Amino acid sequence: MVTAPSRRPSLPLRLTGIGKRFGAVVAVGGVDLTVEAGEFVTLLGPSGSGKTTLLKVVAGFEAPDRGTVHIGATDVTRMPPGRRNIGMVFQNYALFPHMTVARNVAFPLSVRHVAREEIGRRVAAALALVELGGYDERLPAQLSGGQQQRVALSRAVVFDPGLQLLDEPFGALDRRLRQQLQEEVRRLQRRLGLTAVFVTHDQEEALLLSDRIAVMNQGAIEQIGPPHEIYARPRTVFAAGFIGESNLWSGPVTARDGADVTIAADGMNLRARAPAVASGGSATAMVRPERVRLLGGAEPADNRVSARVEEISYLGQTQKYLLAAGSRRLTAVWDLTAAPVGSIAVGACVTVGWSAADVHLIAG
Amino acid sequence: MAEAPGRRRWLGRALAGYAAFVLALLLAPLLIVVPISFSSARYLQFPPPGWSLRWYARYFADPQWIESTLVSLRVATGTTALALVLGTALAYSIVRGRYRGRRMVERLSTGPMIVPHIVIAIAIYGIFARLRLTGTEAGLILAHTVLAIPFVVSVMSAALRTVDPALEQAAMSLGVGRIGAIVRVTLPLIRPGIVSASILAFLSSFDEVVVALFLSGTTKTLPKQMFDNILVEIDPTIAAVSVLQIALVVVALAVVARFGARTVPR
Repeated sequence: MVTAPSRRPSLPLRLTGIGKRFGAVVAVGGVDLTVEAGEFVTLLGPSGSGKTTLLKVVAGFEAPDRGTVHIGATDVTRMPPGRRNIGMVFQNYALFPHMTVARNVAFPLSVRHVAREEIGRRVAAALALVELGGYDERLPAQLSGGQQQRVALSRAVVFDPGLQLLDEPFGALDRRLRQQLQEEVRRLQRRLGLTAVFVTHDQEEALLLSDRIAVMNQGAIEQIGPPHEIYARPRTVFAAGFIGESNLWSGPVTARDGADVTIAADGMNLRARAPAVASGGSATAMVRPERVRLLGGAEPADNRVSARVEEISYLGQTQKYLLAAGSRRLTAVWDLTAAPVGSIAVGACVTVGWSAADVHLIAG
Repeated sequence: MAEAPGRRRWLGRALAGYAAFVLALLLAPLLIVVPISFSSARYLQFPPPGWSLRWYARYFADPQWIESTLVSLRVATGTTALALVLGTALAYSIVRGRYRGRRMVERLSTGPMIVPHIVIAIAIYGIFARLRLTGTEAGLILAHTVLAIPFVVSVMSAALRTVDPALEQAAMSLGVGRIGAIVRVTLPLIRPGIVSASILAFLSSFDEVVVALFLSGTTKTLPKQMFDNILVEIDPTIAAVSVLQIALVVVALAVVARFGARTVPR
């Protein structure tokens, strides 16, 4: 292992009121976002949510119609991409096929007219960072996808960028390689203290890598916060549905008893702990599948449902159960100690329940 | 089913025969021209009564032939350079641009290929006469560039489409401007296309006769000289010149095959 080379500090990123439309389509509609120095923020959303456009605005490939982009104290809104000192990693690696690995990594240094010996030293250090020492003279086409992306990573950090942008960099890789590279990206980012903005539509990736996640939908950030907060307390139905699996029911809030409220949703009376939600309004209740418990005969629970098992999927450490209670569907995930393989068969009737504290309410 | 193999063999023979016929048609002129160029006779006579190199000697000894060859080489070189720069820029704008009317520009860029050369020749003559560009090499270069641009645009836009735009973006994010990205990344990647486009542009000028007939005046290109030569005297020098010209084309095509783009769209 090489020790982290001394480097210029990473810079914070500040986006203010960024708007961008393509013809009649609003790609990004007034986004504010601040990323602290050294922070890893993920823009998570489906395709068409504006996350890629926002990244391109930061990179300088798209000029925003309004709003400003600051990297550190510098307003870079009108600056060409090459002057912004951003290290960008692309989905398809974007290695220059006619240059060797070493010349690819040296590219940002040689266009900055860095002295030759220093280029050699820094390229070697950058390749060692991604454990690709000795691959200098290979051409990109002679490397595997994972190796190519690691070369791209090292090319994106070799010139001490103030900011790193990652545009779905693992999209083209198979699952195992993806996981390896995700760890590598995170390790490199922490070690070098890089400010990083990462774009993905993969919620697992976002949960794993991010300090904070910005959930994007229809050109706006719906919610931004640490992964556990986004997962446990989504503020919108979209965020709840997009991150992790969830059981969602909407209906009016019919009663309040201290901190507990009752929601008449889908023919059920759901009890939830939600001091902030007013009685009389409507709300969407979210219960994560792993919060749905399998109940014994007399076991008490705030919410109880009898259901028939429709489908079972084996996921390794856990199994996922698709349950039907009348016309309602719900999903439960139980680990193998709670429900060993074969203990419940498709068609069996089970009683499940969850506590009021496990219900998260989204107003509206 | 029983007769199928027999029928297939018959089809195969028919196809081979047809191919041989087409090949013969394509080669026939060569089989006549090449022997005549080595003929010892004073007139175009086939088969030649004897062999000699006198017509080649005559070509190399005649200042008119040599001068027109040099004119053609200079005009073709100038045309290649100009058409390559303009055509590549146009192809880049067609492939990477995002402006209104881009498709219209793409269609228009093939215009000189569609409009009959005689029409272009007359139109250019009309303009150049006023600009005093007739009879000059510069005039010929400009006119031939118009004709060569469609070749360059079609080859170069096909080549540019094979280059992932993300590569240019990567280069730009790593610290160069758009021009720097094109020079350092895009152009090296489309070098085979550049070779193909150059040679097509060169040959389109070197072989061109219609525009040259109108514009040459006293600055004769090789095809114009050949044309004039046929009008006044018919001797096998013309065959010798043709063979030299064919040899040049063969060399050029060999260069394309070796260094050029794999497919040359026309």
